[in-house]
Amino acid sequence: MSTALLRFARARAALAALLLLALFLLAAAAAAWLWPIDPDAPVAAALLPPLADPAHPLGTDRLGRDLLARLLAGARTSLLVATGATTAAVLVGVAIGLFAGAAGGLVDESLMRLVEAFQIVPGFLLALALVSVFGARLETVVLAIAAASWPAPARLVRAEVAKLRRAEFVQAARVAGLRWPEVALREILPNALPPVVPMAALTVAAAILIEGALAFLGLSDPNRPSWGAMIAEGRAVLVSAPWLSLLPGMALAATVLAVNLVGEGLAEALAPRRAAA
Amino acid sequence: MLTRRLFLASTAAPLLWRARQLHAETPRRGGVLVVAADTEPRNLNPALVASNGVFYVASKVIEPLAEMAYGEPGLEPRLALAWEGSADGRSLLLRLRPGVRFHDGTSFTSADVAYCALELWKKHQNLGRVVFKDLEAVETPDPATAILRFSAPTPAQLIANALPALTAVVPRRLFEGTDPLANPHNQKLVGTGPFRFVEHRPGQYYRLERNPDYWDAPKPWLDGIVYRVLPDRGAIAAALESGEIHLAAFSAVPLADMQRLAKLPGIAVIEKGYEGITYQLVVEINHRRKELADVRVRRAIAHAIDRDFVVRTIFLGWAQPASGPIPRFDGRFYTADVPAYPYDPRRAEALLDEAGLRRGADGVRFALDLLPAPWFEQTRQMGEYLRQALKAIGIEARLVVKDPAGHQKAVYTDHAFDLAIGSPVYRNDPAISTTILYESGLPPGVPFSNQYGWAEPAMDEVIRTAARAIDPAERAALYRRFQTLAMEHLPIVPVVEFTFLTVARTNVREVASNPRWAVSNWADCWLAA
Repeated sequence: MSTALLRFARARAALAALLLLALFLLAAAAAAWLWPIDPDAPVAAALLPPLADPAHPLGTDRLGRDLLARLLAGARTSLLVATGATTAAVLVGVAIGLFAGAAGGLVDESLMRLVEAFQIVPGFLLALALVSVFGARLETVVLAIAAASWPAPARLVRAEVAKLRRAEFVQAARVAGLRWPEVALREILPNALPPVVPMAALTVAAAILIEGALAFLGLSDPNRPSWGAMIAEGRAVLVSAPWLSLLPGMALAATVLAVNLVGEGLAEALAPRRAAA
Repeated sequence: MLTRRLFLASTAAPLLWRARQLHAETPRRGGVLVVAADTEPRNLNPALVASNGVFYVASKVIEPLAEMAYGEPGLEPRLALAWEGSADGRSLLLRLRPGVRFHDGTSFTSADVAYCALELWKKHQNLGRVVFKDLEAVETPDPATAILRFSAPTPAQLIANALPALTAVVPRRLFEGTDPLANPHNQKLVGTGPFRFVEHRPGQYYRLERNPDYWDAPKPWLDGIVYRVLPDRGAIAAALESGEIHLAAFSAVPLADMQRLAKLPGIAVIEKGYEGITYQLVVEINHRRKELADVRVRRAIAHAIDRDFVVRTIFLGWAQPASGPIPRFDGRFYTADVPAYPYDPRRAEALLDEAGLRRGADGVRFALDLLPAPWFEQTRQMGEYLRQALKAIGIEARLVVKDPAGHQKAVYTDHAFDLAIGSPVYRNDPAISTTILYESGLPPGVPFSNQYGWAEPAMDEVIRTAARAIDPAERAALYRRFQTLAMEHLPIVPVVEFTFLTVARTNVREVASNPRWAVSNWADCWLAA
């Protein structure tokens, strides 16, 4: 009974998280219509507290820019970077994992050593180094986070592929005369992918955090508002204007939590089906 | 424009401060002053590196020949008692203070001045290389006299103005015959100052102790000074509030926090004491970019900037609009009679249209890269503001932010910028660090100089003539012409001038006792009970 309750609670949490995430996505996508204020333009007195002026419900920052507009623009940056980096990381990771797992032998060995070489460097430090070398632009931030995130899906897929290689339906496909690349793409890959989906969700969460941390350290694209950068800017006036750091901090925490919960929900949802398959 | 807030901020605090000081006159001996430091320069020798980050610590240990002072004549003797230039500008007589000893017990003599002048200031020091470039020899007829000989006329006024920042004296004995830049005493400082260098724990603190053998006995009043290394600005404000540190100079506390701190009992915000090191916020322009080589475009950029907004919002009132390259404080050279560019976006757009840069279908006239210097909160914020101000007149600026070393290389060596936000310092004479921003023909890599690709014969001529003008009145006239030319051609756009603020516990006395107090020797500073 307790496990059923737990599952129920988890499902509820995942559902709520999914709703929250959808809300964030919608807000980020429709920011220009929902709240048509230029997030970069000084529009009112500086350091207006939240709820003081209905025209600027969340107040303004040090330069008199609307905080709500900046939060929405920051959501865009966060989600753009996170989805971009995750897509790149998953594509590269799956390709390398599939190749290593399917080829086996020396190729597998050397590719896995490469993966390990990336994994022994903490992901955040790797991203930090890459961004400081190649400059703080949106594309480099995306690529740096992707470079730090691809080894995990690669290992996962490789393990799945190695296991599936010996599965009966794969042997059957081989016997039926399919060549290896075909078997790998048509038979093995679709069956190796399900565990990657929840992992991708976790990667998104990690990417949002890495982007936030990079921005906090001043290593984000200065032409785009970013939650991490907003927290860092607000830190200087933490005592006199705490909302400048608190609000983007809360947005960041809520998004990461929501993505994580959705990821967990996906894992739960996908696990039984795999067991049945 | 003087807003009411600015007026209050600029007058009330120093007045209160003065009043308090008048009532507690007799200095008390003892106590260790704990102050915040936010940088740890690798080379801490002020004879080699003339920068405020170095002076902040080193000026207490190693003294210059003279220090700036309020009122006339603006200088106060330190290691030199008097200085006098010859009529032809080819020599300058220095009478040195007798009976002064370095912290290692040896005597300070004219031989030390001669060595420092020729080997350190002239050859290696960032500012000395400019001011002492024609220094040929230093004669030392007796231990208390040094005569500087110049190969070309050098204004005595310039040398006198340069004494506070450029003439720190270290013992010749410890430097002669070594590579000065690799000398261990660039970290373990030895000088004549009121405090001796004890130790530096990287990332933690610098510790100085009282020099009992100081020439100006019974000063110094303090038993020692500890510089706590606190790189986080929020932490500095908290340390001041809790009384962990007594003082933070150079606006180490965020401006937005200043107003809150000023209201707390036991803490004072002091605006005085930085007039001698006035900074400017400027827009640096790369004239290699063809649009920016057109003076109409540069004027348009100047018209697009709302200086009042910059003063009110970015500096929270603690700054003044700049009218030219020389700050108002220096009445000897300043002139307000120069072309001005008031905030007028319409005029800016008209100038751009006139220059043939019309708005495209997307409303953009042209795009450029804008590099705000990363070292001050205000330079970064100015970058964000300028991006918006330019957007309003149809110029699309892309912000590029680098670390300090990367920024310096991009702007002053590689010229890889279109616009940059810079913060040049005015150091008591236009010839020390100001004309270098306008003269042409400098090799790439000279930081904080004209790396803008701008060359104007009339300007070069004025700078050259002024550098050789011995007569102070003639110099002043030439530098007024310099300001006019600078604002007419507008190779860089001065935006505002600003100094810093000191936040101190109210028991610290004699704060801001001279116009470059934070980088002076603090011999007269004391702690009330």
